[in-house]
Amino acid sequence: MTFRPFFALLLAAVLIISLSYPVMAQGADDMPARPVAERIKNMHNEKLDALDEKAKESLNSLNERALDKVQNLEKRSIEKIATLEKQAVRKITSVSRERLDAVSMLDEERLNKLAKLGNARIKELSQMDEETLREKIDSITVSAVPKEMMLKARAIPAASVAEAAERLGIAKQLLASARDRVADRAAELKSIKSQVATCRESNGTDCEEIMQKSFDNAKIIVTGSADKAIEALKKAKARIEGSETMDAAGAEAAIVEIDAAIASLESAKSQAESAETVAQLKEAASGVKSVWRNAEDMLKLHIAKAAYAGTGFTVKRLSHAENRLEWILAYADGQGIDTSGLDAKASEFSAAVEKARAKAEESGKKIAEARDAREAALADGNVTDEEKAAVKKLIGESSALLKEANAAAKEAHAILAEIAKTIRESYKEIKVTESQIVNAEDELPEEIGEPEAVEVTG
Amino acid sequence: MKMLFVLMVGILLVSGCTSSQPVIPADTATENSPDTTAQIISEADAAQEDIGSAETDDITSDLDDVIGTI
Repeated sequence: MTFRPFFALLLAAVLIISLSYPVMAQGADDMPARPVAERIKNMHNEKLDALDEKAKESLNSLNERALDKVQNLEKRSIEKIATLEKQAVRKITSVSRERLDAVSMLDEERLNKLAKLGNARIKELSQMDEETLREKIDSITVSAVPKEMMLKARAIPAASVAEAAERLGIAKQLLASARDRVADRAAELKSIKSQVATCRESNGTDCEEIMQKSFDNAKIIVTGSADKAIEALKKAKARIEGSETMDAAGAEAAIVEIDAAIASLESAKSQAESAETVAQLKEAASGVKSVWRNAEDMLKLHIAKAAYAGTGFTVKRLSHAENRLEWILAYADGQGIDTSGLDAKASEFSAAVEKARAKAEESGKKIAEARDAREAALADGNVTDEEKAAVKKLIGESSALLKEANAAAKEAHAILAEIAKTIRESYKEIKVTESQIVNAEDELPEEIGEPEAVEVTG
Repeated sequence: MKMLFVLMVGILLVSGCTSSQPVIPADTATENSPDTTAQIISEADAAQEDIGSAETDDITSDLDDVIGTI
């Protein structure tokens, strides 16, 4: 019986340790980062001391570099900056000390609008003189949008996306096969071209066979050419149908035009199939050529628009990602976590996003010019070769710009992934995953919260 | 009594150890979410390649050859 008290004590100790262990473990994980000191109070700056409590609270969560710049501004400017969202203050104060003076003289509305842009663009615009800066800001539209709009331009059921991808694959195959078929027959026709010409002048011994061969090859070239055009149109249609980056109205309008061109080509193709004489086949060939002459520019324009929509949407996502990154870093500032080691990479990321945005914007302007040029050419019902060449040139220029935009977007995305990895590995106090930094689909942790999603145009 | 005690200690230890296993926070669970941005960039790349594609450029000249030859 003597062992009873001892065991009772041991049992109680085991019980306490057992129950408290998970609490201790959790406590260690959730330990808050170092709280921000009363920075403003410690600065002994009369302008800062005179601010109301809300403004002080806002500025207290700034990092020391930013606060150092802010404290030299006019009191009214400081008050304006203090009303901005935390990541907006971070962005605005990233401009040089000299330019911050000019930028902070903007009225609240313009300052707030400027702060919604990317860091690199803010720095670029901050170099402008006051009047040009105001005009530039006024030309930009910033609107709050539901977060879903940052994720996709339209929602397409997964099954429909898969079906469109399948149709895209089939169209690619059929296009390749039609190309081969036409190339083979075109080579054969070319090889007997002089014989055909001779037979037209005088009926020689093998002329019947040669003329039949010429006719058969020609028929396959005409129907095959129609197939090439049809499959190229179907390929573009499938790409548009499966694209969640194109808005529904734009996609629908493109599909209507593509379907009409496919129908016209099918009709011209069936004329060629049923042709029994050279004259009928020539007429059918002219029919296919005529339909394609108009469809070709339309097709290229829609492909350019689809590609532009994809890149434009990437830029939108990356801009949102930049805003989220600034939001996370502003949160870290507020927690007293020094993230200055990330400044260089964050600037590099912003510069790449800005390059992608600017190039995509230029590309979009070229597409608009191409569309206007095509409409003008179609207006008189006679599209000249020069007009076609002009449209083609503009689409080519837009394509080159889009290529640059895509390359910059890829670079930006890679830098963001690098930043996310660094945060995860070296800034463990910021409890955020790589995926949450890179993918807007992943909500940020509750304690960090989500920044407002905004769409910037202009 | 001794048996009961050993049993209880065993249960408590198992329970303590099990509950002290790190719980995967919701944020970590999403670590491997698909990289949608990379996917969109790749789609934009593919669409972009189609603009410069010359796969239909010879349709008109092929048809002209047919009309001129037969």
